Amino acid sequence: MNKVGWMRAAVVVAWLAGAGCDTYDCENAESFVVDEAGTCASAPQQFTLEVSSCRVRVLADMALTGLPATGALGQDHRPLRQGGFILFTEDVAPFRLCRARRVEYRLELACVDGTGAAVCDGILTEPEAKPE
Amino acid sequence: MKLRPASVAELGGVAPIVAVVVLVLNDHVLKRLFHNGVTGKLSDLAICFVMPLLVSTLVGVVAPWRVEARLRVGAAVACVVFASLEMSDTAAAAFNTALSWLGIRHMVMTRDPSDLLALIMVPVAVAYGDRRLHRAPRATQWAKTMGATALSCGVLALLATSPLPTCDRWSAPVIFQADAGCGPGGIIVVEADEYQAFIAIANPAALGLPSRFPSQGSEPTSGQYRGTSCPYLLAEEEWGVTVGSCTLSSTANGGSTRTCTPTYRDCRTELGADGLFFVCRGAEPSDQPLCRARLTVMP
Repeated sequence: MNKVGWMRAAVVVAWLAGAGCDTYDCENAESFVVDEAGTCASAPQQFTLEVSSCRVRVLADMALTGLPATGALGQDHRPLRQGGFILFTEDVAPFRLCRARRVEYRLELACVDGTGAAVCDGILTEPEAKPE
Repeated sequence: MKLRPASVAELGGVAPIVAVVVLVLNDHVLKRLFHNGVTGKLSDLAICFVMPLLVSTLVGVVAPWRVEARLRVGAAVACVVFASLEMSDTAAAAFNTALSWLGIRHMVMTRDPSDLLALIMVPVAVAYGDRRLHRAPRATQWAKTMGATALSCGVLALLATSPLPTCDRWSAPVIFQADAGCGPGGIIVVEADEYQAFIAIANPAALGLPSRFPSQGSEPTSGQYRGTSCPYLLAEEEWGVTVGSCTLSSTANGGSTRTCTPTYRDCRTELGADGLFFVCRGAEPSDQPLCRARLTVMP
């Protein structure tokens, strides 16, 4: 193919890509490291909080963090740092649900059990950038 | 970098184009219509045939490798990628993350070791590639055009191999406070997947449902959103769940009888003037409700 042919092919591919990538509105992906304090973890923890396609994941052992390993963004699917997401146990008993809200510079997690009774609180902050 | 577009003609044969058409048709039409074991395997077979040829062609466009070497590299890549995506949650998660960076929605991965049987198509693809190139070495304009079409459609089909969604907008899980009635009551989290609106419930025991929902086995549980909105309105429109199963069997006089598992229940939400309720009935449609529990949306 000559240059014009390649350009035509590129246009076709771009058009197909547009058609293939539908209007699904949840293509967010971000991850960052947080320090956990509060009563959910028996000792301060550090782990990565990740969101992909509106699904939230805690990349750490639940036994250490006291937090469910998975969750989801709210209907407004705002950025993870803005809070508004939930973490909840899916298959793992006992049930625990944590709701995250942004307070000043930190994320506060309020966790309840299956009856709705408060079980623990978590505070997530990003580690301060270390000077080089 | 000097590109070698003549390699694209290698995909211009009937078999690669048919395989790409099968892949697209199966993923976006047949799976939605039938959703059975055949449609589940058809895409895997097509992928394992197309992927080695695509990789070989892409390598050929950018590097002056002999076609035999390129086909074997394509086969190796196809085996590693397909097997790792089928067998490893970590690989599947990494792949979905990469797709989201490219602006493509995530794939639904189904773990089934028998899917690996589709790898038999990899050597078939290599044999096809060897045979076609030795039989028709000329890169005609027609072959290049068809090859470019197969290449672009094939790459997109491989990246976005999943059924069309029922709802292509994010529907966040909804938290309900379930009153006692069908179970002890408590907090539940309900969500429906975007593909077939299947319901998943966290803490289903609060509604008297088995502790894992949905589940397979002797007492299968499943559920589906039955509303018409997108995003789903789980707090305002109907969704239902079924516990257990029923079978129809023929009787001697030509009729049929319905036999259900002992704990069979058909439950659905009913929105009334006094709120949203989760109502369960037994095997007979005329049965009085077995239980009723109010659902209150938690902010």
